[in-house]
Amino acid sequence: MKKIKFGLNVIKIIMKNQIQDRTNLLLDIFNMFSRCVIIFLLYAYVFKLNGGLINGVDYPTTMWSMFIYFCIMILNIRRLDSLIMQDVKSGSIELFMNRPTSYLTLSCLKTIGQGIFSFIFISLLGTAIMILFVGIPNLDLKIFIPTFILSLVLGQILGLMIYGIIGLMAFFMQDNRPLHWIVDKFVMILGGSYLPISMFPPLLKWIAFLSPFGAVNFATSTVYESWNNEYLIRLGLQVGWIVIFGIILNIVYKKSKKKAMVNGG
Amino acid sequence: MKSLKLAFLNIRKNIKNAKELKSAFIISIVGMMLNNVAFLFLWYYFGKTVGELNGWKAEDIFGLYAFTTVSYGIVSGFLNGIFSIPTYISTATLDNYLLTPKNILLKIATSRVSTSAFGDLLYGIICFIFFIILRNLSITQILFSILLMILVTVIFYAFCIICMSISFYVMDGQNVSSGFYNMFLSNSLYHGGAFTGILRFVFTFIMPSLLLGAVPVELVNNFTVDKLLIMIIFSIFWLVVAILFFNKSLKKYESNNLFGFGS
Repeated sequence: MKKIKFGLNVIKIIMKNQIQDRTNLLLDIFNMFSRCVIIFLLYAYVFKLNGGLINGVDYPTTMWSMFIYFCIMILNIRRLDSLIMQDVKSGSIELFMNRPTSYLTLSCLKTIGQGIFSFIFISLLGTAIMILFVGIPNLDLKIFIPTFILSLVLGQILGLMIYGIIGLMAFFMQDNRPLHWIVDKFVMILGGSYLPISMFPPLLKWIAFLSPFGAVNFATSTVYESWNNEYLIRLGLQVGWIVIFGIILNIVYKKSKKKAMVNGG
Repeated sequence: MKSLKLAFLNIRKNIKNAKELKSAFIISIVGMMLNNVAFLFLWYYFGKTVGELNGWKAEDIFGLYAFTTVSYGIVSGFLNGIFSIPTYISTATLDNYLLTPKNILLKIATSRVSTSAFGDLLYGIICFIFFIILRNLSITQILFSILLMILVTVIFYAFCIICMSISFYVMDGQNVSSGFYNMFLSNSLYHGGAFTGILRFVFTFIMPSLLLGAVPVELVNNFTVDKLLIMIIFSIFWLVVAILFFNKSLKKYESNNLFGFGS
């Protein structure tokens, strides 16, 4: 209980800090707006050319799926690895590792704290705009609401683990950014960023379904009709990947700790 | 002329420095190339699925990425210092550049190189070769494309200067500058067929994202001399605006009391 309270406090402090800087929020809104307008207009045209349906999925459903992806991007958990890399390169990691709270937990909380305000604000604002201009897709709300929240939370935990491992690679590599780029693009493609999942070829659909990179953004699939039959398997997959990556992260963290040199001063 | 000579010397020195970390140098180049493949794959597959869209064929995506990544590779690779302007301001490192008699902007621009951007440059050249083959470009079109790449690089460089110079006016300008810059760059990487009407106007004349890739591809496909002249005028316009804006913004700079000895 104490740990949860501490975690929430860290997120709250960093979030308050972010709220003070309104230019960041405005930029996030503007970025999200321009991205959505371009993509939505493009797909409106594409769906019109295809008679309103692509692979049996209509325009509103596809747009909601992409909107969820763009909202998750605002949360920006991918910055975790650069945060860790900076700490490793600057040497400040030795200060954090000596503290009673786990360095990794603290870094994750910081990352969440930095993006959560923009994420909540833009998601709520965007949802209202989406309902007005795109409409509501056919959803079974009893299944959608709880499974969406669960898959979003599990996906972000998995993402933090993946990016955490990449960040810790800074102990072993001169530059871990290439690793970030490659993994990030897998997460981006398999999450249905610019090409919606409904337009994926069958092989890519399977890769997105089974790989951990696709599992990070399973929340984007919650609006599709197929979700109602798949959600148990998908949530199970997310939990499975969390366990696997949790173990890997733990091993890498232990090895990283051995590599860290505390010089004092 | 002397400033240019110094700039080339700076770039050479920085590349030599970067090459010392051999594995990081190679990994970042290869990593960036793989990273770029993702975008190409997405939009190429999109083009193949959807077919021709507002005059854009799937093969044109190769052209889009050729123009964008070559210009990005040159600017970010060799003139990476401009992206550090916000940091130089907040850490007062800019003082070091102000105190030198040479051209300040050129000295700042050549103060750093980015090894990963060489991957972009190489990737852009590969895309260009694919574009030539897939679109069956004539010699005139190839030469025209090379000329366009130079003009696009000038526009890219100019608008980056504008984005980074914004940090002279705002507190903690790093986020604001990179926010504008990311918006400028990311919009240039979308499928060219996505931009019609007011969107096309905004991203051509106000934020020239489309001038980085989409417009040049369309110009290569439908080449006319007057279009080339318009592109030349655009690049000169943005460069002049950028230099004037930078010089005006520089007057807003106030050094802080941070002690430091920069490169």
